[in-house]
Amino acid sequence: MGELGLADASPGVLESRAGPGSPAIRELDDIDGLARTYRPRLLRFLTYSAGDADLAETIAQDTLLRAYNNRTKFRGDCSVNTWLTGIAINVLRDHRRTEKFKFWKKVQATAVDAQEMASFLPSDGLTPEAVMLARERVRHLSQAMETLSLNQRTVFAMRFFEEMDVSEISGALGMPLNTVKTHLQRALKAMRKEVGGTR
Amino acid sequence: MNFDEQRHLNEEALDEVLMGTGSPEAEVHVRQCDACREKLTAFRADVGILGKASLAWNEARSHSMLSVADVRRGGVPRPVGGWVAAGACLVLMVVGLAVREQREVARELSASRVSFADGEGSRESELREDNALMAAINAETAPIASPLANYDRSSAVAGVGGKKGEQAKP
Repeated sequence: MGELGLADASPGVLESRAGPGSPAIRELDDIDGLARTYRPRLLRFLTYSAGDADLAETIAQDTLLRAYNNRTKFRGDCSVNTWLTGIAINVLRDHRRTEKFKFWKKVQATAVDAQEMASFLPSDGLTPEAVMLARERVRHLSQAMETLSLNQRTVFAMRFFEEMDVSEISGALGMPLNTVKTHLQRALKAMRKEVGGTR
Repeated sequence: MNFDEQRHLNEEALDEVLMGTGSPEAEVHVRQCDACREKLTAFRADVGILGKASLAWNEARSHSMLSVADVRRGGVPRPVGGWVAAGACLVLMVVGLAVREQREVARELSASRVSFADGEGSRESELREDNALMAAINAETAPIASPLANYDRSSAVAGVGGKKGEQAKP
């Protein structure tokens, strides 16, 4: 796998225990509902982890298909979101191994448009000035994310967006706990430096 | 080890708290120190709005993507696939009707040609029959030589001196 260091991750690492007819299993039976609920989060994680917005779409679709086809293997000892994130990591790892990916990586990479992303920040009843400032902050943070390595970005997204703890991240990535911590510390240091410290 | 000169958490300790691996001592300090808590809250708030904005952006992207069920079926969106199938059926129906109509016209034309040919044939046979009938009628109605005429002719030949055989010809 190289850059992401996911070589040790096995597809069954996040398989969990959920009885037949459990809410999680019923949720997995509805492929469209699954996509509606989880695809935006998968896309967010994959966009940061893959470093390519278009590739993230392909991986997200493959992840949902693979999850649906293997839904009987979900045993419920983690959340569906965590299970999907683990599958996404494996799909991304498989994809990165292909020559096709290496070729396309050289000729195209659809980076995140920080300005566009910032414009999607909901106003949540804030004043126009506050929204403008918040969007500027998002733009700045998004650019800071771009400066991280893929490993750092992946563990950062898993910790702060997917709210996984370091042991879950370690299990999903098949990466030693201390390595996860090191990547996370470096990511935090870089982000704080870019955004002006923890303030 | 966790504190700087001002007795606040140092960067490493703050990182560990953010990573969820802070020491119990650091966690206690955060609960008691407004300055350290504020640093952590500000960072989490920044990351929070980044997460919120990127989620909203990805929700919009997700809406514009094909449904996974369609991808599973081969990539054609269900409504588009339905309309394409309906259109194809309509075209096939129209083409089928046109071909059928054309065949019927052709069949009618060929049928009329056959009946015309039959008509010609029957007319010839009718003509032959008519001719045969007319010949038979003519034969039947042909004038029969009267014995008197023979008598007159013979008498004329004998008495008047007419040329023999002129009147005897029918």
